[in-house]
Amino acid sequence: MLEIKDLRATVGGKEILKGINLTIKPGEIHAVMGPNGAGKSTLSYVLSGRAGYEVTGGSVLYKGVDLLDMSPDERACRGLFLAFQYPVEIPGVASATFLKTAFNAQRKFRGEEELDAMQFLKLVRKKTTELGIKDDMLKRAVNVGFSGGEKKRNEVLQMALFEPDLMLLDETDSGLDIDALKVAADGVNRLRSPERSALIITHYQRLLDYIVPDFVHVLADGKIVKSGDKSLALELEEKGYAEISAA
Amino acid sequence: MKNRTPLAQSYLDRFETAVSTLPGHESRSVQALRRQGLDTFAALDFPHKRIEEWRYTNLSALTKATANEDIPSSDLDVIQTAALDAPFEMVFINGHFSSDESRLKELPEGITLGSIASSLGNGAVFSLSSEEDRALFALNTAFMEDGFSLHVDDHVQSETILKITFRNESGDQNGRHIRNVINLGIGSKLTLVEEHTGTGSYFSNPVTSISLSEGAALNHYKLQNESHYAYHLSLTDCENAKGSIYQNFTFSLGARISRNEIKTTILGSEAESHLNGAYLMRGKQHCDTTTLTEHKVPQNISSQVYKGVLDDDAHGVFQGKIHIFRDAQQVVGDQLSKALLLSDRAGVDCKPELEIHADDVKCSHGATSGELDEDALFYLQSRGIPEDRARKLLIEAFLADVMESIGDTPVKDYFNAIAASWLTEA
Amino acid sequence: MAVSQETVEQVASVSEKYKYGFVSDIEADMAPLGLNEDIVRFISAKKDEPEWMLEWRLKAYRYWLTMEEPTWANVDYPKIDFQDIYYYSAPKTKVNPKSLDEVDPELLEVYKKLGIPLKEQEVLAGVEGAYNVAVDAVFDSVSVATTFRERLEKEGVIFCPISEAIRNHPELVKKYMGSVVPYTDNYYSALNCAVFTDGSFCYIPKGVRCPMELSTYFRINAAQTGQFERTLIIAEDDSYVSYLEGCTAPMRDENQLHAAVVELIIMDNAEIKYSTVQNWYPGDENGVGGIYNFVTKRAACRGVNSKVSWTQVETGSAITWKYPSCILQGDNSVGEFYSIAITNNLQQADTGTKMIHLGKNTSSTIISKGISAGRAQSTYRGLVRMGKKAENARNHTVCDSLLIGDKCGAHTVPYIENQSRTAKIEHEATTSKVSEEQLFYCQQRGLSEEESMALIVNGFCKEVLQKLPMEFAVEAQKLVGISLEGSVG
Repeated sequence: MLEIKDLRATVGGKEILKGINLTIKPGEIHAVMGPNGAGKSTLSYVLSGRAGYEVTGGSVLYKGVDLLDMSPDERACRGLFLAFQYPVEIPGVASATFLKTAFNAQRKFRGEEELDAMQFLKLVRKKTTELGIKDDMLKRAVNVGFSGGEKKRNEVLQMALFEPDLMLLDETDSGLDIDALKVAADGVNRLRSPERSALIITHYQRLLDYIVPDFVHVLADGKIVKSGDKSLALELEEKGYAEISAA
Repeated sequence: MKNRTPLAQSYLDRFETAVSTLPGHESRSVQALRRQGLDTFAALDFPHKRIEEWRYTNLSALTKATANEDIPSSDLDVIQTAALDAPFEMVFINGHFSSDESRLKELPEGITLGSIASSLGNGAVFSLSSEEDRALFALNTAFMEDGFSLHVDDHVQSETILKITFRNESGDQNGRHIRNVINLGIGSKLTLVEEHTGTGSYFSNPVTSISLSEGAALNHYKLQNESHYAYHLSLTDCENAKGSIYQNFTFSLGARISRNEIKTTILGSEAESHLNGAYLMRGKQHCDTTTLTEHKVPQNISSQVYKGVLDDDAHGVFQGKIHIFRDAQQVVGDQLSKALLLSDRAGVDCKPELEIHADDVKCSHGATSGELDEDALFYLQSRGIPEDRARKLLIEAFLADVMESIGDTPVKDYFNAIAASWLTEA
Repeated sequence: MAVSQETVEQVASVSEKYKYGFVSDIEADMAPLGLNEDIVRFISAKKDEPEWMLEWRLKAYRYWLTMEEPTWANVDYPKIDFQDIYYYSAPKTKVNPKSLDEVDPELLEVYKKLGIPLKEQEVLAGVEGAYNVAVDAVFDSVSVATTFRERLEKEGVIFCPISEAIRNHPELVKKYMGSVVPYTDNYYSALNCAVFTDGSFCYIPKGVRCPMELSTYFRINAAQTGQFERTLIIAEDDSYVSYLEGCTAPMRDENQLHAAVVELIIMDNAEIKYSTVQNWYPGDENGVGGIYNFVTKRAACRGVNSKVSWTQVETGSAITWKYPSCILQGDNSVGEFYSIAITNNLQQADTGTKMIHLGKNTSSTIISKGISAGRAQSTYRGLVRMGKKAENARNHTVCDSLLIGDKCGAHTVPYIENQSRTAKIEHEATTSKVSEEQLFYCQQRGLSEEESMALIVNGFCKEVLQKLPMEFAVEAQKLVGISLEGSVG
């Protein structure tokens, strides 16, 4: 699914990622944990193609194709989904319009027929009901005036709708109460399948109580310093990053 | 003799011939009015950048030549979409009323619509006046040829949309000096849509005087979709009596250089004046919106919201002034100007001004200018929306709230459709 | 007659409020009345200036003759008769004293009365309440004393009267004077270039953080004189200085002209913080007398990461015409303008700033608080310009006006010009009055109406007052209250 080799990246001329190696196979869920400033968000932005994050070395293959060459929208259309740590507010763009535009753009990319307004609405309603999201959210502008929990729910709704192949979750747990956390985890778990992978980027292990990862990696100062199974997350929680990173 | 601009000089040279052929030439009072306008214009010449109100708009491209540029007539630039479905339409071609093109049969009772040319022909100058300090107003007074005269009787509340279309083409160098007069009687209501469009190069100089009686409400829309080789310099004056509501929305896409100048004077309490608009400019277009809202009595509300999108080498100007006179207490005035720059060569100048002489007022203004929000753009792209599509979505979103202020749905749909086609061409 | 008695009392109380309105009987050495080339030569000779300085003055004078007085500001005053002003007035005492002991005791008395600390020894001796601040005291047309010069010299800081700098540091003066505000700039700056008499010169060498606040105290004393102040501050790479200025004048029935030019030059990573408490005599409650304060102040942020901060509290003067500006030329340079302008009675103020963004990532902040009371007119006039090369430049402007009473006016005239796509400009402005509820709430808690008003207005100005150096902030807060006295009821 994803093959990261010696990935190096700079932001504003400063090197943040200093040679990341990580391979994710179909069906696997990986968690990358690390202290603040380790480069976690940079990793998610580099993978999703944000401007200003300059790759200075290494390679990333996604489904065997060079990911770094693609525009952000092409990555999305090929099934890479980033759940944002801070979903952006976009005044003036109705959520329904936004979802439909994105949904059809992705279908069009894959050579599938676009859904008309009625078909799409039916599909969205189905998803919102499943996720327990109120319909009136669709009428509001994207994320505008949403509470932290609502914003995360909106991300989960999009994930459910787009059915991505690789989910990137960037600090999805930050600022969430336990109920909202469960909604987010539930969204990911629903999509778990042998073909679908996920990379969960997080500071705390509590999200991992709900989305159990196959592998856990520790990111420190731009490098993966340790890898293991889910028990590593618990160990981190207990001992803290300093000890593990030094080990 | 003063060193006049060539165009001003050519107007002065032409006046004696014109005054004996223009509508109302048999009437002494009309002639006197024209002469008064000419004298004022002769003293002022065209506005120039040394005049504070014109510091951001340079008319020298217009005034330096006596003849218009030789531009092949072409309508490629003008955005055309499905027309507005209006039951009544009055059409002016090259500044003259065309009864053939107009659809004015069975106008609702209480609405009188006529052409200014025929009024002038009858020697009527009624509410026409000249002006001491606005050159373009004076020039219009000297050379006005036609326009519409609209009167709505007391308590007549029309639900239909009345459309006035001005179609222009390249041609003689006289310019189109349109003069319109609108009078709404007590408690009356009307929706009016003005559309200005054309091909080739010409100079359009419309002046509109509006008077709203007590409790009258006018929804006044203007689509400025002139040829990209044209000059469109318009003046609209509105006087609000007690409890009247004036809502103006101006949507500008056309003209090489355009200026939409609106002056509203609030003379009665509980009156409202709302001036909104949007402008979409590209190429070397220049669009100037200048508003002056005068609150002369207490207890009124006024607002101005303008949004502009500027691409290529386009230039936008917003000058808005709220003037609150002494004793005009309990006035609420709000103003907002936002500009979006899509190109490194585009620019915007903004001067939101408050002049306040009463203490019990609440006034505010805001002005912002900047590029598209990169975070929002990335968010949309990360959901699979291609970049150009995402940009368009964000531009539409930028315009959304001001477009939403359009109260008449057919007009809103019409303007939105035009905005969408403009974006498609981007 | 109760009314007239009340009026008399009010007049008396208002007059008391300007506590700096006394006249000192100090014998003066004056130039002949009026202005011509000989007067320019006279001033230059009095200052013992080199030839190049005189030539520059004459060039400016001749240019000034070709100019017209500006009329665009929102201020109204009778035409100034420039031939009815004395352009030079100096106390007949020893000029350029070597130490404070040589200063005329009468002059020292004046400054004591004004509360200006000229006693170095107090500070050195650690006397409680003595400000750690170096003062250049300008009395009419000359600097009469400059304190702490030796202490500053040890650090390489030059702090002296500008007339002395012209003689002793010609290379610096030649290089920088007129480089930010050329004599062709505007009517009053041209006049200033021709006839400027004194002011301060500060030079902060590379890497030096000026060990104390520098300040200049301007006093107009002689009748019918104009004061033409010239200040030049240069902050070399990696240096820092905080500079303060204060101004007062006697109460007179005539209007007196103060036309100053201040130039600041800031190099790489340097910072100048410039604070003003302007308390020239504002005229009486009928608008008789008062200073015409027509000032050109401009800072050139030439270096990368350079920073300038203008903070002003403008409570005095009959007419203020002043726009401390920032030219943000160096990449990442920062300009700030914090202003409080209070006008009462018949005062008029037209003040604001210009932020000219030329370099990349430059940023500016404008916070302006205008308060109008009585029959006063207060105008904020400001320009924010983003040049084509000002990539990612930022400006944020907040411009609030407060009206007290229904006979005054508050006006806002911002000019916002953006030629840079990536620049971001945000401008917001409000105009409102002090609400009855706020006043009542304070009164209900036991404050008098005037105290309540002073409290509320101080709150309105808080963001700006906080930017002043501490000693000044206390003074300024009191001033806010005093300036508004008589405005309520």
